[in-house]
Amino acid sequence: MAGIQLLQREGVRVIYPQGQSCCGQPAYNSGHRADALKVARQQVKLFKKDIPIVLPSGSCAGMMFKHYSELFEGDPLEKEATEVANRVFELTEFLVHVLKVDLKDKGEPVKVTWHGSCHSQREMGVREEPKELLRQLESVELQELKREKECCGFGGTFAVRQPEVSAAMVEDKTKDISDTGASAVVSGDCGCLMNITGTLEAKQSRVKGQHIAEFLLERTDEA
Amino acid sequence: MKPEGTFRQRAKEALADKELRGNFRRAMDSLMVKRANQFSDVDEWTRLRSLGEAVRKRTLEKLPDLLEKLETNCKKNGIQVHWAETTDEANQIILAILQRRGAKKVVKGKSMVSEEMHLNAFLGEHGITALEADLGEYIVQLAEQMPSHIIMPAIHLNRRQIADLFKKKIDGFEYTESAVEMTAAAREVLRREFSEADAGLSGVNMAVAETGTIVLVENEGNGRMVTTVPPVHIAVTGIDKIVENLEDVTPILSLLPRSATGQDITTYVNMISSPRKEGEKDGPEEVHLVLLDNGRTRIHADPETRQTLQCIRCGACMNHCPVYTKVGGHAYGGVYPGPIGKILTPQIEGIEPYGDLTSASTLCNACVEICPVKIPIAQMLVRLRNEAATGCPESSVKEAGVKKSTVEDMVWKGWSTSHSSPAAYSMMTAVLGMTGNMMPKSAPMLKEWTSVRAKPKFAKKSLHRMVKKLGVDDE
Amino acid sequence: MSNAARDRILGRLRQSTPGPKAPVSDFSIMEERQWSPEERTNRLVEKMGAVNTEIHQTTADDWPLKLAEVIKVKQAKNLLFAKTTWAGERIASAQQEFDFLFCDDADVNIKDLAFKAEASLTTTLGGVADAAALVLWPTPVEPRLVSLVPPIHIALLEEDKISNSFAEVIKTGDWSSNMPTNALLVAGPSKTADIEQELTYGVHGPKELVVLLIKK
Ligand code: SF4
Repeated sequence: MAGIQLLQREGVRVIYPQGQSCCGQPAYNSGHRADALKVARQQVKLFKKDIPIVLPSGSCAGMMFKHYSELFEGDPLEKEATEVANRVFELTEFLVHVLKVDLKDKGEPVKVTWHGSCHSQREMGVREEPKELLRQLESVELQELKREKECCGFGGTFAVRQPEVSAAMVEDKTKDISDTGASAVVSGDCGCLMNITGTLEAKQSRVKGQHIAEFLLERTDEA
Repeated sequence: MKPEGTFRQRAKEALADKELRGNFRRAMDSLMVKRANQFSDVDEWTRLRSLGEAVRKRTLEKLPDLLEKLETNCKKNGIQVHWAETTDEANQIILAILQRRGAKKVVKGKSMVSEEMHLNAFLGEHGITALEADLGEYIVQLAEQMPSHIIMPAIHLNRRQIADLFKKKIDGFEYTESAVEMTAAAREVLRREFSEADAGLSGVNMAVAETGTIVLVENEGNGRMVTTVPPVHIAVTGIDKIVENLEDVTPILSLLPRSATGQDITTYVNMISSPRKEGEKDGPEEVHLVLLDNGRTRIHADPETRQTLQCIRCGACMNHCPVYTKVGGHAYGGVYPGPIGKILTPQIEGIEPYGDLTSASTLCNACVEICPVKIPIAQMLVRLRNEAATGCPESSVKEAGVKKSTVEDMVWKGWSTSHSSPAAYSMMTAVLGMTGNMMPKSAPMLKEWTSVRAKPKFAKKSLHRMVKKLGVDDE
Repeated sequence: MSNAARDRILGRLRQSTPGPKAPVSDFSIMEERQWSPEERTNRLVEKMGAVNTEIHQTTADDWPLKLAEVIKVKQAKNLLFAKTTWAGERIASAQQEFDFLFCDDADVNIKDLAFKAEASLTTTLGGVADAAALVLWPTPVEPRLVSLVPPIHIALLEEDKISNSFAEVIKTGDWSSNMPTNALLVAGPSKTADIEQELTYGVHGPKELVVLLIKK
C-alpha cells in the first residue's frame, strides 16, 4: 500500500492487476517446480504491458528477475517470462535510479537500523539504495548492523522445516539489532520483517520493525 | 553410511550447547573478516574468480582425457596409479600396498577423501595404526570425533577442552591451556611418529595432468613430513581434483588460501612429481596415487550437478553460512559439512540418508556470493529438493524421488490451484483474513513459528481489496 | 580389479551429458602485475615478514658473517648444510663456533642427521613477489629433509632472483617440461591455528625461517 502511495506521490501512474497472487517462489524453492510454474504462468500473463514492474519485496523481485528464465525454460511462455523478468525492479532501486527521488524529512529525530534481505542483496544486487534513501532523511540516524549481510533465518518454508535453526538465526539477528540501540529496524522484505518483528515482539523488545515503503511515506508525508 | 537421527535433531542438540555456539560464532566471524580483507579489490576478485571457475569447468569438460593423461605422466615419472570405484575398493588397494610392505604404522596428512573412506577404522581392523598428523585432525582423532570443518577440523573445541583431552591422552602432558605449549606437546609426539612410520598417507589439493604432479598446500609441515620421511607415500584423491596443466594451478593457489583463511598463500606449497630418484638421499621409494570415484561419475553425468565437482574445498562457504555458524559441522552428519556438504553428501551417499540436508538452507545465497569457483549452491539445493520431492526416473541423482510425499504434493497442488486462479485466491485471502487470527498457537506450522516469535497477524482486508478501494487501476 | 575399475570410471565419464562449453580461461590477471626489482624486494620482505619470517638484508661478501651472527643469537650448536654448493664452499672452509653437519657426504643417513640438526642452511631457486614465498628445488646435494626437519631453517635468497609471480617462474623456468622430484614454495615458518584460531609457529616444520637476502 505504502509503496503504491509513494510512487503515486512521485507522479507515477500505478496499475495493480487484481488477478495477481504470488511469483511462485515458495513452491520453486521447495522443489515443486510444476506447481511453481503453474502459478508463475498466471503472473506472466497479467504483466504483459511493456512498463516497469515494481515490487516492494526483494525476494519476489529476485525470483522473477533471476529464476523465471530457468523456470520457464522450454515453456510456451518462455519469451514473455524473460520480458517480464527484465522489467522487474525492487522498490528502492526504482526510487533511487529511475525516479531519482529527493526526500524531505518531516519527522522527529530517530535512530534506525537497516536489515537488507538476502534476495534483494544477492539476487537483485540492491545493497546501498535503501540506505541511501534513509540517509536522505535529515533527522534519521542510520546505525548499520554488525552483520548486515547475514540471513535472518526466515527462508519461507525453512522456518517451519528447521524451526530450531531458524530460531537461532533470528536470535542472532535480533541481538545484532538491539545492540545498535536503534528504536526501529527497517527492511524491504515482508518475510524478513514478519520473522524479525515477531521475534522482537515475543522478546518484548522496544524496537519496532517497519517496511521501508511505510517508513519513508510516514517520514515524508505532508499530513 | 547412515547418520544418526535427522539434521533437525542433530542441529537441535548442537544449538543447546552454548559453548559450542560461542566457539563457532567467534571463529567464523573472524574468518569472514580475513577473507573480506583479501578480496577488497572487486575487479581483481571478479576476474580471478572467473578464471578459477573457467579452469575448473574446463577440467570437468575434459575429465576422462585428463585422467588418462595424468595416469600416463605419473607412470612415466614412476608414480603408481590405482583406480577405485568405491571406498571399499580404495581401502583394499591401500591395505594391499601396506601389507606388501609389511607396514604397521601409517602417518597421515589431512585428507577429506580418507574420511570419506573411513580409512582409519578400516586399517585398524587389519592391525594397522593410522595416526593423524595435522594438529586439528590429531586433536579430533584423540577425541574420537569427526572433523567439524574441512579446513579447521577441531574448530568446535576450545582450548580448555583440548587441554583436558591432552591431559587424558598424552603421557607426561602437564596441564596447560596455552596454545603454544599444547602445540609443542603435539610436535614432540608426532616427530617421533614421523621418523618411525612405515608409510605416509596424504590427500591431494590438485593433481596436474600435464606433468603428473601432486600438489599439496598446508601450513604445518605435516604434509611435507608424511610425503618425505616414510619409505612409502600414498596419496588419495577424488577423480575431480585434477587440473590440466601447471598454469591452471596458479589461480587456484591464490583463490584457495585467500578464501579459506585469508592468507596470501599457505606456508608450504608442496609439488611432488616422482618417488626418490637414483642418487637422491631422501623421499619415499614408492609413491602411489589412488583415484577414487565414489559417486563422482554419477555427479559428473548431469551438467547441472557436475558443477558440484568444481569445488576446491576451501571451506569459505561454511565460514559464511548462517546455518553452519549456528550449528557447527557435526550436525550435518557426514564428512563434508556446510553448504558444500549439503549438496555433495546427498549426491555421494544418497537422498535417502541425507536428503534432509537440502532443507537446512534459507537459500540466502551467502555461499554463492563468496564461492571462489562460482558453484551455484542454492540452485543446486533447489534441484536436489526437486529430485527428492518428485524424482524423475532417468535422474542421475542417487535415490531421486525417495522423499516424495503425497501429503506434501497435495498441499502444493492446493497452493498452486488457489494461487493461479484469481477467484480462488480472493476467496482464500478473505477467509484467512476472517479466521487467520483465530487460529490457536498450536496449529501445525504456527506451532513451530511461535516457538520464539509472536503469532503473525493476518490482515482483515486483503491488499487486493484495499488497493481497489483506493482506486488504483487494474489494467 | 584395478583395470576394470579404470575402464568403467572412464567409460561412465565419457557417457556424461555435455553441458555448455566452459568459459575461456583468461590468465591476464595472473600476469599483469609487474613490479620493479625494488618493489619486488620490498613486497617480499614485507609480506614474508608479516608471517614471521626473519629477513636480513646482506651482501654477497658479508652473508657468511651474518649467518654466524644469526646462529650465535639463536644458540644453535650445529648447522646442517651441503659443503659442495657455491654457498657451502664459502663457509665450510672457515672456522666456526658451531659444528658442521654435511648433508652431501657420500654415505650420509640424512634422516638421522636432519632430526639431530638444530639449524640448517639451504640455497634457493629464488623468490616470488606477489604471494611472497621462496622457491626451492631440493637436490641430491641439498635433500628435502634439510629445509624441513631442523627447527631453524636459514635460506639464501639472491635479490635478482625474485620474480613477479609463481606463474612467471613456471613459464620462464619451463617447469612443465622438467619437474623435479619435489618443488616447493615456502612462505614462512611452519604454523597452525588449529587451537582456537590462535596463530602458533613451529608445528611440524621449522619453528623459525631466516632469509639472508643477498643484495646486488
Ligand atoms: S563450494 Fe565453493 S566455497 Fe564451498 S568449499 Fe567448495 S569451493 Fe569453497
